[in-house]
Amino acid sequence: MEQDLQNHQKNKVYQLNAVVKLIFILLFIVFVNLTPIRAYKAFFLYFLFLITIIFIAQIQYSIIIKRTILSLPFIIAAVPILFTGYAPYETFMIIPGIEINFSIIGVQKFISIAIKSILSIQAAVLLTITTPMPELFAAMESIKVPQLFVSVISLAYRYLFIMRDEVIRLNRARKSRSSTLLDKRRSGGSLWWRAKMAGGMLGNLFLRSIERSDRVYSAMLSRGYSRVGVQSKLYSRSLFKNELYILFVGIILILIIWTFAMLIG
Amino acid sequence: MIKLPYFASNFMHIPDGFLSVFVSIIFWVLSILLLIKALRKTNQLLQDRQVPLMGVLAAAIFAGQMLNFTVIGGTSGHLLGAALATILLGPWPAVVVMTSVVSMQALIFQDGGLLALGANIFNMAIIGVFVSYSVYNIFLRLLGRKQWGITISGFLAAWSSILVASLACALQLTISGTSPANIVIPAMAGIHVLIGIGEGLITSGALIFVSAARKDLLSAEEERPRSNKGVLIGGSVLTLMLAVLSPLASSHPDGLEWVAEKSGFILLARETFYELIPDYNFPRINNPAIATIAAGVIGAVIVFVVVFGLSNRKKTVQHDQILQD
Repeated sequence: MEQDLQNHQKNKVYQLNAVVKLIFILLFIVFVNLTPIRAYKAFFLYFLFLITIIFIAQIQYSIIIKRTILSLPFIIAAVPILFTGYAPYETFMIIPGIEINFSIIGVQKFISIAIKSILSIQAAVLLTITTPMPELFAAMESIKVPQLFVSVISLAYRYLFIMRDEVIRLNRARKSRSSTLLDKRRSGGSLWWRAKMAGGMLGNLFLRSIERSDRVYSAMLSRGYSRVGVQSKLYSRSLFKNELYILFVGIILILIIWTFAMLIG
Repeated sequence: MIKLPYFASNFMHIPDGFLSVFVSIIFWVLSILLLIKALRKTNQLLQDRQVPLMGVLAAAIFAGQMLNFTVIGGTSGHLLGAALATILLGPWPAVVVMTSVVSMQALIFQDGGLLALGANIFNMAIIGVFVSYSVYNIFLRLLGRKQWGITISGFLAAWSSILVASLACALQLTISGTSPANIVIPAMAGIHVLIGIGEGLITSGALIFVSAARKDLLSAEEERPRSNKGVLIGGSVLTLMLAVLSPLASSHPDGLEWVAEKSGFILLARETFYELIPDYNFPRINNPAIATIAAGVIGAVIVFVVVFGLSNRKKTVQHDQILQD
């Protein structure tokens, strides 16, 4: 919810229609991923573009960096191509007697995967930070994501924080019954006992939420719930002309950078 | 703000940049088609009740992924939840719930990319659910519907859903040319064989609780007409296919290249394919079998060390976070 609070700042990027932001960010990510490897200059331009928007939106870059770092460990999955890419190889000696072959193409590919991944994550973070979730869901509906599905996830989002508190309470209850010994590396009880405890909590959470959904449903019915998406009516508005213009310019800029990348690549 | 709750299953949330655009789009299309079908099926089953039930349960599974329990030393088991959702709700509602969970993770927490979301949905929501469903039902038939039969079938369903989903994830990475098959497949499989045990144990624990508190939820599936036969078959086929395809791909990595050429993928994804799929040979080892095993072992060790280190760190972060709240 903290995110939502931040969004009330008076700022052009925050106030922009969520549809514009969603389409722009999706295209940005697609074209970054379509850019050939070794087009470092193009990657730099994408980065400049993104940084400019972040600057206009007045977001602290450290927030974005923090979120990026969380997704970074996945890069391990790409480490092997450093060694297994095509020839030519570059040989390095680590300790006398043991040599390691680095494939030059592999290294280039690894770097470009890392760059693409970082650029895409930062673009996605930008979208999340500058767009209130209800608006984002409404925007999804207007780009034809099934309405039923959007209703489900916007309801889920609304209950996320309640469920989070429920889990925290369950955890606290478990802790207060000494499920953890003072030495954090060990817990009370055998592995199966611990699993059964955690499983019991999960089953409990599940049953409670099934019951809760019944109450939610009656509450919705009593307030005149019908299947029509309330989301979109409340949170979406038609595009202003200048917003269309901004979207158009944004897409053109992405295309220019991409064409440039194809030319130099 | 909810902390990104877990690290282990992060290996299944593929971020953007790792899948080629072509592969991403194929899995987007597959996932959308199956999601539409799932929405239609749940609609028949639950009607108006669908939105609140699916929504609240998706939130519960998302939050439930914060639950952890110590496995060995500092590592902790977490959960994906696909198996439990499938067993308690039936396959199609579980697909909707899991898709919502995975989408929220990508949209709100950048846990998994937006372009890669289609593939992530396919792995966790569709493969996860289908595989759990068929494994659970097959073993339930073999073991009987006694308490221990349910517990063991639940364990196996959860374990195999994690393993098979990770194989799919590894294959997607391979086809995209991000990781060589002979390293990423054994490494992914190795690490998820272990992670799956955590998932299996916690799912069994939950099933024991549910069968004590609300036995009717577990037997609801029995009375349901056999309309889920498609899922049963689909799940079994997916399991068998991935179980056979993965070792094949990791021992004959050129096979993938050949398939790619034959089916004309290369024309569609020129850049991606012939440039990116390398000739897999672990440097300096000539025997391919030994090379594969060595690669697998090295990969698994690297991954394990990193997971171990990070989950330790994550755990303390989580402790602090709970204290702050």
